[in-house]
Amino acid sequence: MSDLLVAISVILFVYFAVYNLIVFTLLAMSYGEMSWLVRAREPRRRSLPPVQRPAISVLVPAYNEREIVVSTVWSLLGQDYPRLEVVVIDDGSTDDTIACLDAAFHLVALPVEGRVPLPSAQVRSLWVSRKNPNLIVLSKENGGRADALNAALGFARHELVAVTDADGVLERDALARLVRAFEEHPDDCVAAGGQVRVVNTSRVVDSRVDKPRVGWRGVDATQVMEYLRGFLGTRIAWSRMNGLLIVSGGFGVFRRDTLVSTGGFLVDSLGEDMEVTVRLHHELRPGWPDARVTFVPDAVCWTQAPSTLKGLRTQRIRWQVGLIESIRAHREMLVRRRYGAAGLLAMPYVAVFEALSPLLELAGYLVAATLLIIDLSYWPLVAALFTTSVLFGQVQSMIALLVEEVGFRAYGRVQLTRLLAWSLLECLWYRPLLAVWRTEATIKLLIGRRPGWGKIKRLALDEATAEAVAPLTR
Amino acid sequence: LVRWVFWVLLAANVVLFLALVGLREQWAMFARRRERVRVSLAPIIDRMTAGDDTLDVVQTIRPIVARMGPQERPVAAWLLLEAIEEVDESTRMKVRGLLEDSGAIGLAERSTRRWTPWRRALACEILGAVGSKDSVPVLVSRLEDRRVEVRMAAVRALGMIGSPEAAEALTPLFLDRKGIPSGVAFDALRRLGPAGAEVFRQGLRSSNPTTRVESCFGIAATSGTADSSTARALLAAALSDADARVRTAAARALGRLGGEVAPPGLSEAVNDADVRVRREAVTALGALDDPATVELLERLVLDDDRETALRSAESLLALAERPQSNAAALDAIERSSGWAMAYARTVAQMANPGGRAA
Repeated sequence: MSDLLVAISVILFVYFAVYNLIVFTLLAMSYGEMSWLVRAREPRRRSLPPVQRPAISVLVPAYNEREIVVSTVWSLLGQDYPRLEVVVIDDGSTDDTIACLDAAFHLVALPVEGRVPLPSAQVRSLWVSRKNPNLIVLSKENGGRADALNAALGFARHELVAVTDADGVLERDALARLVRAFEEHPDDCVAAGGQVRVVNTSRVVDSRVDKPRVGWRGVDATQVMEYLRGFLGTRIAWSRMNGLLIVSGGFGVFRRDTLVSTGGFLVDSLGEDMEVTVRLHHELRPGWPDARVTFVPDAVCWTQAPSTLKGLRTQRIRWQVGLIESIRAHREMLVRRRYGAAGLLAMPYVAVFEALSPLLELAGYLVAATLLIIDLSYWPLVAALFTTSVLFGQVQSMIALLVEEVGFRAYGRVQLTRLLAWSLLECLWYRPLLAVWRTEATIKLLIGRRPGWGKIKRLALDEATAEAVAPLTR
Repeated sequence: LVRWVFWVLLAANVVLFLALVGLREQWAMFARRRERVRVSLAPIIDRMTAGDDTLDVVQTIRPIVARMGPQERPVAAWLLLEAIEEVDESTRMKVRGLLEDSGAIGLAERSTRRWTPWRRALACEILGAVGSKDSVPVLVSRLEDRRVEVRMAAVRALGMIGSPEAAEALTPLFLDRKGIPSGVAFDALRRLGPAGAEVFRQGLRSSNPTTRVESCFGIAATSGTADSSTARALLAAALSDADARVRTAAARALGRLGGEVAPPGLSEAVNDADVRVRREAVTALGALDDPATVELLERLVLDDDRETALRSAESLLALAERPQSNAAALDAIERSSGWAMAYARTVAQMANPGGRAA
């Protein structure tokens, strides 16, 4: 029995070693890319003259977001981009989200007639802001995030659409930086994703992140590190290979026509951002091999990550279900050359490592515990496996921090130390928890008890006074 | 195996930690170096950007450039780039003369052949910002660089210099769509003016529809008042292209050119089979000042496609502000009872409360 368990643990060890080696390779590629980017940064990456820049509609789905929606809209309207409209979609909120928007922006009703390209839950009303005519507000029956975005695609006016969340805080030049991907590749770029960072404990003033901070609490700090690993670590490399399979729902830009022609966002998906990105590859690449999905690391959006374990569990269960469903829906892409790196490399990687790893990780914990229960003399082996796993994770975190340091240097010495400390402790609590929740999600999906969206509580972030938040006069 | 992996990972962690600390120190050193170079160069850069082109400035720069080590030069280049970004053309010419006399341009030209790619790119960028036509051959030679970023920097620099001599080298990059992102080649050619326009005219005859699309925009961007009628004729012809994307681009480009009479093809394009062409044609009609198009637009305000209807209403509102078409457009606006007109009028009132149509 114990020999069998030892054999299983060795197999699991090899699996995770391979997984980590792939991640290290991606991280090293990202480091090289970021080193270039930092040299090639402003003022040398100039944009087109304003009149020739593509116009953007920023879509902001909001469901019961009264605390934050106004500051988010101000932040978006203050973007350093010349041709911009903001479309807020109130997805059947039961709080006074619309009343808050009306009070802040003085909404005037517009007709809602006319044929729209994608079906959605019924649109009740449409308004334009008297204070800023570049703000459109849409009120509709509740239908979920994807449904809200599909509805907005019918009312958005511009050729590019940016998608963000009501809790997102965009850096002032984030849209301009993201659009450069389309300006440089006007014929090939179909979507571009920006970097999403965790804002939770950072100081926000005038709808801008004034001072990035890493909180004392593990759930906040560990997610900061996790987002850095995910965005700065691997996405840069996948983007370089044109195998990026997710443009984060937190901040991404798409060609409106392309999005509409491929069916928009999948309404019943729990990971509509990944699904739509994979679908773009799936539907476009065979006939349009140069179509590219790009990641732009210096286009930054700050978002609120769940600050409680309950919220984190809800989110991670949703992500795992979304991940598996996206792979299942587009399994035809697996190991197929016609989809380029997306089919040949990214899809197999996501299926074998991202989707399966929580199950195998949990299996590893169980095997180790059983070994110790059967025979305590196995403790050196279990300890060695555990320490190696910590070191693997720590190497990933270190490289991600190196990429961050090369490109941004957003965090001071104290914050960096805190990040490193929490990433050392991840193996003791965070990763096991994620493994349990994601396994739970997989099992629920397999037995047909698919979880729903759930709700993560958002907090008002802005420390500025009301006058500072609302700079426009009547 | 586990023990071996453990030691390797432990060593990797230590190395990475040291690299992290080293990087912090390197940035601190860079900041100090930048400050040092800034302090030594600031007075002379101020004099240069203020238009002082006396021999004294040249004599002051020469020893500073000679003294600079390989670490200081890129810092000086960045500072110079930032300083001359906003200056007018006459000051830029004076700065160019000073840098040529002091040997700084020669140094930058030599740097385009350095081993480190970002230094090659930076040197190209500097040459572009300074804008000396003599640097064109050096930059053209960089179009063969093995790194795409250096090639892009060279193309951008050629565009910034704006010399027609660069057109020949940029033409294959644009027409064959190889070597650099197409948007970068397009932007450089746009900056060349008439020489770029000639390339875009060739592009309209390309077998590649995306090249024809870019050429439509290029022709609109490079057409001066003198050759706008030629540009309009070329774009009107592109409205009958077999590819809907080209027709869409041609319609949009015609709108950018403006004018008083709508080309016949544009009025017909509002009935195009492709909805994108119809939308752009409607918007383009609103950018002209042709009273004959008012009736057409009035009809399209009731179009089944939401976006076409809205754009038609917006075009009518735009025509109401134009000298030739305003009377007819105002009548049409008064007559119109469609939802699209109500929408467009409400938005126009918000954007421009004093506007005639509002």
